[in-house]
Amino acid sequence: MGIVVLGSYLSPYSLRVLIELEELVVDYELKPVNIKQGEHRTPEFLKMQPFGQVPVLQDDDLTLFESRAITRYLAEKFDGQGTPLLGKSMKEKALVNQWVEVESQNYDRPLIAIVEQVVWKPSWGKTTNEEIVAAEMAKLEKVLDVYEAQLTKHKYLAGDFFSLADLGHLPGTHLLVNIGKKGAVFADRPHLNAWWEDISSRPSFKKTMAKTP
Amino acid sequence: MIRILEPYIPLCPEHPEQVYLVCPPALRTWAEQVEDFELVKVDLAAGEQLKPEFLAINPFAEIPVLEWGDFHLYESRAIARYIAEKFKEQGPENFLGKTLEERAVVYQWIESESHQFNDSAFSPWVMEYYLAYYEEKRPVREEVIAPLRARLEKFFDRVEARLSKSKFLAGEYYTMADMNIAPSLWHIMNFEPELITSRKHVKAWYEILTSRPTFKKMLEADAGWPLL
Repeated sequence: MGIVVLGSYLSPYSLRVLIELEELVVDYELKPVNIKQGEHRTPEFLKMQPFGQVPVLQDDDLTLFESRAITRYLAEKFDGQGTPLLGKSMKEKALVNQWVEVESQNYDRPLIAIVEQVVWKPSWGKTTNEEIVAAEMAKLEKVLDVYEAQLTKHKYLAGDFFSLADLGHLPGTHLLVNIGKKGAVFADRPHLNAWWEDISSRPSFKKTMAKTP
Repeated sequence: MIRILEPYIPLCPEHPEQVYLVCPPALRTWAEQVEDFELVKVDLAAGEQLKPEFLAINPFAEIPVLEWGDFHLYESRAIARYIAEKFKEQGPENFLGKTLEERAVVYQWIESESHQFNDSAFSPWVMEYYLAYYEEKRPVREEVIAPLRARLEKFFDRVEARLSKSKFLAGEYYTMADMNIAPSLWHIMNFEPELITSRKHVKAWYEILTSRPTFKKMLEADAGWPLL
């Protein structure tokens, strides 16, 4: 049957999985889930994903949810093909995991709060709450300062190799910088900016984004 | 020698009968696997985590941090995973799953606990109780707690459904997914036990998790410390 991803091009969490599949050179089928029409809340969908979210992965008998669990599973399953994403030694793997967690806990939360205000709400015809944007940007900038310091020491987050940790930042940062036009906070930080330019010029990212509406 | 840097909060004398868990849940996996470790308390009230020496090892100024020689690692779930991987030959159990698919399902539930439970519901809920009871000495604000409680109820409904089909979150044996949530369940039993006791499978699961010898050992080690 092969790899099936149930997701949406509108969801950065779905995009994370699709970009990774390109890095791993794995064929897949995307079954679009129409979020606007509430397809992710139907009883059939909730049987697969009880929290009613995308993406969901199907690989033969295995149904898996949570984008970071999916990306880890795929990286482990296809280790040895495409781009190595997990790190080699036990310490490298631990540092990759650490930065995946940093993305999940420290980076993604203010970023998604900002993207909701400056990208998604306008697309639903709602007004941006500038106070929330300002407060969340202040939080994000503190995190970006740490990233800037880290990226003066290494080319990528977990070391001098591209990994799952860097990949996880791609779709959300694209929404923030390219669609939300909040790129100034990156441009102000030269190493962070160079890292963003580097990872966003990867063919896997460009190919996936070319498919989005 | 493995050192775990975790928070130190001065004892709160008003509630000596309550037992609290100082360290974020995932960290305690080491108790099950590693004998030779040292717990180092970091005085958050005194701002020790903001000092240059600490920032040099965790620039996000957060605990816990693992220190092993000159190797440092932060983010509790990354630390727990590293320890579980490193010591998996030594313990009797495999906390991460045996096959590739099992590992994926374990990770799926670790992530679910993180996003569906901890970040969006439990963490702000327990913080309101902590602020109310210990810092500001006032009743909890129902307008803050009610929506968080509603999210917890939804989460536990889904866990109840899951546990009606499998003994533990990820399948038939205890894994890091269960380990990570156990201390939070303990806090919930302290403040709003009906969230757990009203659900047959959740209650049974809670009892198994908290009767493990290492869980009891952790409570003894933390006896008297307020929660974080």
